[in-house]
Amino acid sequence: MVVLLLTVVVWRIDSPRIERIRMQVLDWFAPASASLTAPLRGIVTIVQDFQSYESLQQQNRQLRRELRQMKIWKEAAVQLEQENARLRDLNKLRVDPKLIAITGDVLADSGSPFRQSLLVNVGARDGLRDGWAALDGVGLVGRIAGLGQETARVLLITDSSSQIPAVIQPSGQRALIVGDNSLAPPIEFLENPDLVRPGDRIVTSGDGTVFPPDLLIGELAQDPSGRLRVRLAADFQALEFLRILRYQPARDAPGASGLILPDVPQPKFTAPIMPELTQ
Amino acid sequence: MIEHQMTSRWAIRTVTLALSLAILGLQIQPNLVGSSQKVLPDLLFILFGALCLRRPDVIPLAMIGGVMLLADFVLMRPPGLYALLSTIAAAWLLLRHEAVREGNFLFEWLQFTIAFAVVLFFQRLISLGLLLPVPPWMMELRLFLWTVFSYPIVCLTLYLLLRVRRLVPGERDTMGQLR
Repeated sequence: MVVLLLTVVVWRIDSPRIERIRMQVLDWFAPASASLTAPLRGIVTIVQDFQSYESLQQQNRQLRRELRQMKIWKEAAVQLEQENARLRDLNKLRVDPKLIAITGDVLADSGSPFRQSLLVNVGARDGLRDGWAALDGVGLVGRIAGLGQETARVLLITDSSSQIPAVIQPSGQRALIVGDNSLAPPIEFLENPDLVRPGDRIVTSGDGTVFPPDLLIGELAQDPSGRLRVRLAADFQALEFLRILRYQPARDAPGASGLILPDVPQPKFTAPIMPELTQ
Repeated sequence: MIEHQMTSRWAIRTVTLALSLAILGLQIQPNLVGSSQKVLPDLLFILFGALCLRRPDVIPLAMIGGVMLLADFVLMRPPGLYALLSTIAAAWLLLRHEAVREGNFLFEWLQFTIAFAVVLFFQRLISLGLLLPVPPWMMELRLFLWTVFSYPIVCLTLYLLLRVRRLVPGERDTMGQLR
């Protein structure tokens, strides 16, 4: 009990150190548990497969309907892509090479709805850094918060400690997406709610330089009580693989000398030599 | 003299440890039991609580503390806080087992409920005191109800698995002491 009490106290005082220990524990525990629970996971998967067979016909009909719509979209997308390629060619545009992604497998989740985070099987070994954005291929999922050697913890944007600056398109209104442990986080600090409508696209704004700008978060929705929330683009019910964006934000340039000579110590300001007054 | 064969202490210890690690491992598997969306009962606490009330001579407190600390680390909770509180609760349940042995099952269930309620209450209080984020009331209430109502099921499972049951007055434990 003394040990436990000490752990709490030390964690409160020196949180980073204990969090590093946590990541080491998880580094060892998550892969071990994944392999040990594999048989049980197999059984559950079989049961789930049987359940999905029951709804197969209905699902099939729905998929056909969606497929028809998708074909229309695909046609539009192909036309846009061709146009885009032509314009890029005219413009000699290069895509930012800094935006490279590392893909990781989801190893574990937080195990309770009180904390929304995931563990992926890429870590410091793969060059990950704290704060990098994680996507599921469509939309933003979260950011790296905690690095182990072979695993990294992704803090989801649904967690109550996550707050993300965002822009609502097309009106360009800025707002914060504040997680509340639900699957549809509410939108706060919206300047003018009259300018936005449910269905608007929400993307990251890039303010605060943690996330790159223009990552898709989701679309705007209104809950029955009239509160604005985000319908997330990423499928949070079934996250299996995550893409982690390698992104180094532009460094701040606080002063001219800081920009030109980053490592040279700044000359101290000296007062102009004054004639002595006593004479 | 006909006596029920009791499972030995070390068997119970080993199975309990394996069971608690399996619970923890399954809980963090993604997309398996949906534990990141649904509030599930705290099976670890029920497991240890039931063993403390039914076989007080078997599970050492250090083991409870150790497993709970691992759970704190793995489940992203503030490390040590919940472990500390649940170990204290387990110690209290150990002290209460004399009274529980004479009462009926409902009384035992009530003791467990009180212990878990106190743990949750102090966890919230200390979290607020340390300026940690606290979950919404509704979620904690659901966790409480789920856990309390799962207690009989876990007890039944323990009985079927390990023949762990309430000791009645006058029974001898594995060491031959008169209970």
